[in-house]
Amino acid sequence: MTTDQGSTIRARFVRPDRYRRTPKRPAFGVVWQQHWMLYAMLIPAALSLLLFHLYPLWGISIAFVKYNPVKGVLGSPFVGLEHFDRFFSGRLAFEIIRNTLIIAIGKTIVVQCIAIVFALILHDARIPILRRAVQSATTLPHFLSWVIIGGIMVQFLGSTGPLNQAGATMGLPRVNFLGNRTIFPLILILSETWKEFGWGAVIYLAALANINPNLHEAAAVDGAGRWARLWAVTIPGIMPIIALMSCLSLGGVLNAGFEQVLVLINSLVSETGEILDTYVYRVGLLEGQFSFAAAVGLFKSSVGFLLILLSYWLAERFANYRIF
Amino acid sequence: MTIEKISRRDFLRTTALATGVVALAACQPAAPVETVAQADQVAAPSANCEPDWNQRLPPVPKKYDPPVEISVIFQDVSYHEGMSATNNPWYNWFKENMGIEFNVHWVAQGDIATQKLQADIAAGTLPDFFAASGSLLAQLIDSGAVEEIRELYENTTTPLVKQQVGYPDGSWWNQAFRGEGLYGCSHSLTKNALTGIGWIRKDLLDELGLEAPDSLDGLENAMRKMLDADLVKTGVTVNKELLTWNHSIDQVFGAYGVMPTTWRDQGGSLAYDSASPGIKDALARLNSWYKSGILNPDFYTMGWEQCRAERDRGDSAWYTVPMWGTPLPTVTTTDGKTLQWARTDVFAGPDGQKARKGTNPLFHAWVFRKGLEPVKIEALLNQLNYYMELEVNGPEKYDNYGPLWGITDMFLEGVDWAWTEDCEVKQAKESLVATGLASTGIMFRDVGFWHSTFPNYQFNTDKYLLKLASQDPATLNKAQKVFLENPTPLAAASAYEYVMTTPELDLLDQYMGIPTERMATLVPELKKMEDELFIGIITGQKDLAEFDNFRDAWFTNGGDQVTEDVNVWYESVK
Repeated sequence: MTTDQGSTIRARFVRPDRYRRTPKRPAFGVVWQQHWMLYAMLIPAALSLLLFHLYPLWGISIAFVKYNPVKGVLGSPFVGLEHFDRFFSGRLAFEIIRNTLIIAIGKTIVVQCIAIVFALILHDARIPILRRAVQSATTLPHFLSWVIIGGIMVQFLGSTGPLNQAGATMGLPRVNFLGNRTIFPLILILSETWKEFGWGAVIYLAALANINPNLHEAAAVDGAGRWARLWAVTIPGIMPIIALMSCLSLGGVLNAGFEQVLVLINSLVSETGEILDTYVYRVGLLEGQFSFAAAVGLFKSSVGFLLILLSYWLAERFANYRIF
Repeated sequence: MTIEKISRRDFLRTTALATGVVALAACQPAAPVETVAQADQVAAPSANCEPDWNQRLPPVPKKYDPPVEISVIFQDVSYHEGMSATNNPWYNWFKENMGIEFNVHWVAQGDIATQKLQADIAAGTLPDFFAASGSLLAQLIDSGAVEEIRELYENTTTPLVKQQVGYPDGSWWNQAFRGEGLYGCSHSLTKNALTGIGWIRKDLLDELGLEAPDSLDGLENAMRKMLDADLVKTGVTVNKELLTWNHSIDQVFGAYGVMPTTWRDQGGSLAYDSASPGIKDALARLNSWYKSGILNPDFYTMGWEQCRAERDRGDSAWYTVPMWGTPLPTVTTTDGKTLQWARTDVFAGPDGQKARKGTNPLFHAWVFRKGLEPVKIEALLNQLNYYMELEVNGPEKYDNYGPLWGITDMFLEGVDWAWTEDCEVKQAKESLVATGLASTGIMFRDVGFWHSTFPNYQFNTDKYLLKLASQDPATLNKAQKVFLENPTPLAAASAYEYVMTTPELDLLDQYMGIPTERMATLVPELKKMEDELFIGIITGQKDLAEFDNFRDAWFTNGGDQVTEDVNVWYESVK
């Protein structure tokens, strides 16, 4: 606060934090002179963004025309929302959107929960070698492609595979895991969980490592057992990260896992297994209905964009996390 | 080092270093390119042995100087050591003798190739010359993406080509015409190229004292006995696509007088057979087979590779393949089991009906990118002229047995065949006998036009092979003998003869029109619905009664419109 009279009078009506003088922003020329190397290093990334992310956005206009590859987008007849109308009035729209949401939301919830529980267990492990070995083993599947995992799963879950054989020794009937449309989404969710929970736990382990040990000691002095400390110290300590990860995962809720579904789907389970991404691939790349596929893809991207905005808003609201 | 500590000098030095590294990497010599000489070494003649036949190649139709460069799609296959897609005897022959240099547009095959081609169409980056069929071909022609070639085709191709491919009256040509304009060279399949031939485990039949079955009941009985005796894990190997070129169950449907996925004349108009009532009986039969283990419980996940693995392991007892996939009469598995395979006739159904899914000659058309220079189109058509002369007249006129060998068409020493120590001819270690799939994994593929460019290709070569087999061996030259030493091509020729002499068993798709725009939109979804229902009923996940609902649903979901379009075409060609 300054000492001149005008300022004193104004201070009565203005909250002190707002009264603080904003430091003057340096001129761009000054910033450039000081940090031009940083800006120079940014150029490749900016160019890449421009070329591979912004420029292709022009292509979405295919969704509004009857695309003729020779005439190009501008020369093709404009059809407005005809392709969207066809998708939403078709018999598959509801089924595909439902499948996408069930599979994607299921994966998000189960992977997050298992990753948190696993991180908590691993954090409390007392033998460092065992801890490292388990963490490495559970992180490894993240780096395997779905083509490999899909092949393993077909063998493992097949009628004569180890799982059914184990069931047979216990007198259980044979189950067509990959041919049962009720079980199939669950198979997708569980296999995704198996592949990703180890990797997902990494960030929670980092959050757990950041909890002040004094809090645990103080709680122990107050007589809290391990269980009580878990609920009173550990989980509240990582709650901001849990909230943050949950909010951010909302942005990817329409990404139900293209490669995984493509590798495992078959005619018996397409009713509950076909998702937006595989549908776009099928009608677009295999059947050559470019405009229609672009319309379905655009629908997915638009909803995804709105969800990303929502997720960042929620992340700021509940976890105080901001990107911009 | 923190950001604040980076001085201008540090930055410039680092940038200069990075630029230098990139420049060095860019300027380093390219990976060594195998020379023509290396490829030729493989085909170098042996010093001491003399052929007792006078092998020649047909005269070159025209040599282009300067050479023409044409971008084409290459298939992703293996090559001999020291060779590559753009450096092998066949590639080099066209380059040096005809002045045609094929450039790699990209390398892929199967679904990947389809995807890449679709991406090329969308982006307007098509290769100069490629194959397309069905709705893709219609889309290319209608959008003006391919050249009109009628005048060039008629002026350039030889009478032999026109005669062998049935130009312009062959039914397969209608897909390439739009009015008076011709937009591609129709490539008809060799007759019955994809017609499935049944093979049964003869060793197991002998063990059980059974005769080779000739009816569905007989097949079922044999399979049940083999399963009961624990001789196989499953009876019949079936592809998840049910009716396709390999491990098909078309004969089961044929035994009930129906053939899914085909359009057939019923009372003067075409009707879709998948919606015929007779399908229901066949599905009921297949469901009973599934329940009793005659079909693999996981067959709905099995494509070509998995099916082949199952039967090659000896886990099943009956399957179908086209004649070019004919198995050796006796096969030893990797774990030492000996399997004996015998051909089965088409099975009769409960009412004595029997049929198989015949192969329509309609395959695809070779098309030329819009804007491709006429000289390049002409060069490709001359390549077709050359191929045709070699394939039709090779053995008789030029003592060249390449057409019998298939795939490569030139019968080269060191690649296709080699000398033995006592100067006899033997199959080269890594060569491929196309008619018998006696492959060791090395495959050459045609570049530009493919071999077997006319419907009678396989029929002619197999007839020639069977003629050799009936001759006195003393009258054969060393090259001819090598074909008879390998039992596989002969077995294939014999199996093919059965197919070719029983055309009355073929249930052919009678629709050979160009898919209309709404057909291109509706048919894939209808097919998906059909697949889901058929496999659902076979596996017992859907009730047989749902077939009746399917018939109604098929028509209300666009089947009636598709039927209308198909019959508009049918009326126009009647």
